[in-house]
Amino acid sequence: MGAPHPYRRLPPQRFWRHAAREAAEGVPDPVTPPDFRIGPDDAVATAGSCFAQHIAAHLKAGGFNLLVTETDAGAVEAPFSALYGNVYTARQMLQLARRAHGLWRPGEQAWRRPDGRWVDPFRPQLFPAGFETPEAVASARLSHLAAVERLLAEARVLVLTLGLTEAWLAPCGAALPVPPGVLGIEEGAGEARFHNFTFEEVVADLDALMEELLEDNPGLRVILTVSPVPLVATYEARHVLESNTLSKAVLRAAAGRAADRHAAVTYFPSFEMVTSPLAPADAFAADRRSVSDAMVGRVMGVFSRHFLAERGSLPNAPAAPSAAPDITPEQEAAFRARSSILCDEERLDPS
Amino acid sequence: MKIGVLFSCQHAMLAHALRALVPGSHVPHYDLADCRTPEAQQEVLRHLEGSDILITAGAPEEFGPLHDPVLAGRVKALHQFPSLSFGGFHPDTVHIPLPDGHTLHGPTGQYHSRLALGAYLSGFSPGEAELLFNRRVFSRLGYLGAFALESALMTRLYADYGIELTEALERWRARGVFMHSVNHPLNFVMVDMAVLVARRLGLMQPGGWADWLVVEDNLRLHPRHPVLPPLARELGVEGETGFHIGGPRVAENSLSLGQFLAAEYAAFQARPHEVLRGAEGLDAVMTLLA
Repeated sequence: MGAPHPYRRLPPQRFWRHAAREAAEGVPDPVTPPDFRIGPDDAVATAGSCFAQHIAAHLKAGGFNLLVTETDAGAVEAPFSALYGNVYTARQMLQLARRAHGLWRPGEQAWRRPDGRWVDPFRPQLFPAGFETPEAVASARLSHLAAVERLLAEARVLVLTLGLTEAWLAPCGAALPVPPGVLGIEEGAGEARFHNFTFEEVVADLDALMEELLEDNPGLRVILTVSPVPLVATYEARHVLESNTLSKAVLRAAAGRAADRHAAVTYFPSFEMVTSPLAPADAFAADRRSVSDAMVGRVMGVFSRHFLAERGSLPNAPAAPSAAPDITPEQEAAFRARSSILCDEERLDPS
Repeated sequence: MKIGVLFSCQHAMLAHALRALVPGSHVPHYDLADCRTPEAQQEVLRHLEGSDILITAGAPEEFGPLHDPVLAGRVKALHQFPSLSFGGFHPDTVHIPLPDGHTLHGPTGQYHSRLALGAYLSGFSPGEAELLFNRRVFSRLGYLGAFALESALMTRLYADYGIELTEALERWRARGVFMHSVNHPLNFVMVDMAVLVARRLGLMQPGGWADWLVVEDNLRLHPRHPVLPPLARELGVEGETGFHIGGPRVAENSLSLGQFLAAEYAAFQARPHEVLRGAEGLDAVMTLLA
């Protein structure tokens, strides 16, 4: 007797003909069921490229708890959880989280537009009116970063959509959402250089991001998606189709790697639903770039089916290890020295 | 029985509790911080002389006649116990020693924020410093593990003086935040400490606590830092954000983090950097912010 056919007992969703049947009946459901559900009370934050806004809008419309820690009447209207605008690359998200925790202070501070108004290089198009001075930009940024920190600390779930690998880096290494030249910036910007993040770089950035996010919020679950929206342009010396495929392939592979490596990460295959040969003919709008409203609805229907529920089932944060601490001689000496400090406060007692 | 107490700012609560625990005792008590001049030392010596038991936090040589070996010759029995210090709720609080032997005073008296100091010395603006009060930074500086570390250090220190602290620590922990600040315990802590000291000196029978006893908490209106939210969440206690500058009407006399940092920066600016760099544990902050 020969070896058994290794595919014989596999479930139907492993076979293309099953997916094709699903497609014929509507839209394929490629989601591997996650081990948790999001309930109406669970705070969900979203960030990433444009497609993240669809997820945010859907959650809000469905009565789920879209966590919003920052609003401003002067900002463009978009369902951002905090006013960071679009975060296109993993590096940009990593740096945003580090800036929000005060642990990275990039050299890029404020840009002056042709109309004389100043903008934040990290969200230059979010406030159409701009700011009067660089100091006003800095002040608004501090409030913004505090709101991002609160967001990352309070969210039970972060839905993060990866959009691009092509980026522009400021001289300090900051990943910019747009190069200053696009906006005609006249002052304040260093010379940005083009960089196309490799698979290894995106993986490393996502690894660092996940480790650091869990440091902030040990119970956080991250749902990673890859934006199906194609590149609007490439700076690489090749056709935009080729760049788009490479870029999305890198992001998709890196997202898969992150989900494999980090228990807190779940991949949601919205990219596959929209871009596969089995996607409905109306998956894209007439411009053949924007995802159609109908397709967004289908994708979010699948998202709801697998991730949303009347009662959430998000696991609690793992308990911190309670091992007895190792005490160094320096710690012991410092503790004993502190025990012998005399307190002068009583003589200052105003009561 | 005359039980003299020459201790830290915790002297009054310790003495009041001992007086209640040891019937018929007379317990004069003094703060070592008030005994820096020869005149004060002679005056305090006059009151403590002849004590049957003298409890001291340990007076160094500059305290003249109150220095432990000298004072031991003027009382029947001298016992040293450390003043209670516990930074598990306030791991960011630090004293900044000055060249004159005192410590720097700021908006919350002797208590400063190590993070604020590190941020100041690293060139952060007060607004940028405010961003640092988060779980990630606390984790990297070891603040989240400070409770366990301080518990172990405190237990070990008292064991050196023949006092087993484990059960008492569990009692205090069960009541939530048991320290106003790193060296200001709440009153119930000092009652338990008095019980432990009394037992150690044979003034009380082993076993049991004095839960019936309440002493006035004379440290509650002194300056204090909050148990900051990232740590409070970790410890399962109520977090605060107000930095109490001291005095009654705590709400009115509290600063927000932003106000506190601005006032801290003003205090730092009055001193040369090399003086400020003497604060304990500052290197870790400077390295993190580099």
